[in-house]
Amino acid sequence: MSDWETNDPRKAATTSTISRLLQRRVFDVAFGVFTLFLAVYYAIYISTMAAPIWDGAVYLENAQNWLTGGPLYEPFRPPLISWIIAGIWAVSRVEDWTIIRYLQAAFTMGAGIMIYLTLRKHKGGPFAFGVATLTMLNTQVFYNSALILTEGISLFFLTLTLYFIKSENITRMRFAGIGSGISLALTFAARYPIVLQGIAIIAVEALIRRNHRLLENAMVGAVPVLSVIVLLVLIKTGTFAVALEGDTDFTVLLSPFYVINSIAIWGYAVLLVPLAFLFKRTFEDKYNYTFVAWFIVSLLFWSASSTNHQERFGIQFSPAVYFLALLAIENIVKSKLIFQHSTIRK
Amino acid sequence: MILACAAVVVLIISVITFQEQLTNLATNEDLIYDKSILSVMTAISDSVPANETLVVSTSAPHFVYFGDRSAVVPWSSTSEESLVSVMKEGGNQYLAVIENVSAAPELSQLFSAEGLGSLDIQFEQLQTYESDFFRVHLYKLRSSE
Repeated sequence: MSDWETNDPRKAATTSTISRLLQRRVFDVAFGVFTLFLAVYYAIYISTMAAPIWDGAVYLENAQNWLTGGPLYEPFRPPLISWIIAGIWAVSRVEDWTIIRYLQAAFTMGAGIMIYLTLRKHKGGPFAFGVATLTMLNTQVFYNSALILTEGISLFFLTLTLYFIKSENITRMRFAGIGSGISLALTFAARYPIVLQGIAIIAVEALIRRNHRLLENAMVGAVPVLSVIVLLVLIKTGTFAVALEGDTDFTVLLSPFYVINSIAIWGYAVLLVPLAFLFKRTFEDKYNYTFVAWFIVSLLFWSASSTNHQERFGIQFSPAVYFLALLAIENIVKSKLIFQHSTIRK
Repeated sequence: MILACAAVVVLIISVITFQEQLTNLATNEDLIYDKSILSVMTAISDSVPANETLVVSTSAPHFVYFGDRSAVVPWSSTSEESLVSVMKEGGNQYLAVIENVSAAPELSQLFSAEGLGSLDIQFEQLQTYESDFFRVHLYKLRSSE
């Protein structure tokens, strides 16, 4: 290359722009590559499964019954997964359960993308990449998403709720509010108890923005969809129950199950979560409040159940756990930098 | 700086232990990896009259969906006697037992390889099926006449 070419300001500007673009997009590319590898890993892992898990067989049977007009095998099950299965069979004209094996994984990976896109703008690529990949590589998230269950589907619609409500585009705020309400209703239809986490997310976001219209728009989106969901189940079964009788017992004597098993559920990263609460920085940025509330509400709700505690119940608030874990690291690093800066100034 | 590095190390360990933890979770669910279990369940379902409700030791939804029939787990039974009583009350004659697997905890011993022998008094063993990981027995309640 000649000196004239290397010294050409236009070429230098283009190279600089490309370089800046690449640097800005490096985590986008990395996350894209990660998601691709994850998809392949899911495909290989799921292909070894020759039979559905117990609940999976129930959802398949319920889907068949929605399609054929027969009575539901277990009417208390949330309907969305069975509706999706029935829809796939209706479109493909083939009732093949082996295709359905991959359904949840697709939704879970969609949740990972939602988490990444939500966090990228405010917290930056590295932070978003960390939270999204930690969530996707959580053992409970991965394993239960490889089965025909409702964990991955509900995680997707919950993170979609978060994505909409965290929208910072003022001109599209009404659309975002309605979108969050619709996805909240679909979270309910996917897995009934998870709606509480969605409500906490929306409520806190409306509070910190002091924007009651956000809540109103969410209701505009949620109420009609919720009504349709409840009505369809009522017409089909004559009743509507969100849980088995034994699972509706709650107590103020909170179970330590999720604390004792926290490492088994979320890995060693969970040890960083308490550190996040030790820093003033955590509460100086209002953006963090949503994740703090999401974590606390979820932990309290599941711990308050007097009978039913399972490690997979931690799946839907795993993004909040890893957000706080990475926030702790960010606080440690930036606190140290502030200290160094003030030392130099002296 | 040390604390930040330690925190990052913790995260890396979380990722590295992912595969090991996944393996530990998976081994508890052998039925889902059994390539011939569904064909066994279908064969059993085909052996039992369509208008009969099949009492099963576990996996009732699998018999319902893949066998296209009515199937129940005897949740309220706590012993062989109560199992027989429940079956007679319900008018159910057929029992399918996946050896060593029982959804009803109180019947675990009865449906174990060692416990199944005691069923021979009140049940007639019709057929035994072998899948990749399991042995499944089909019984019929002996007539009291």
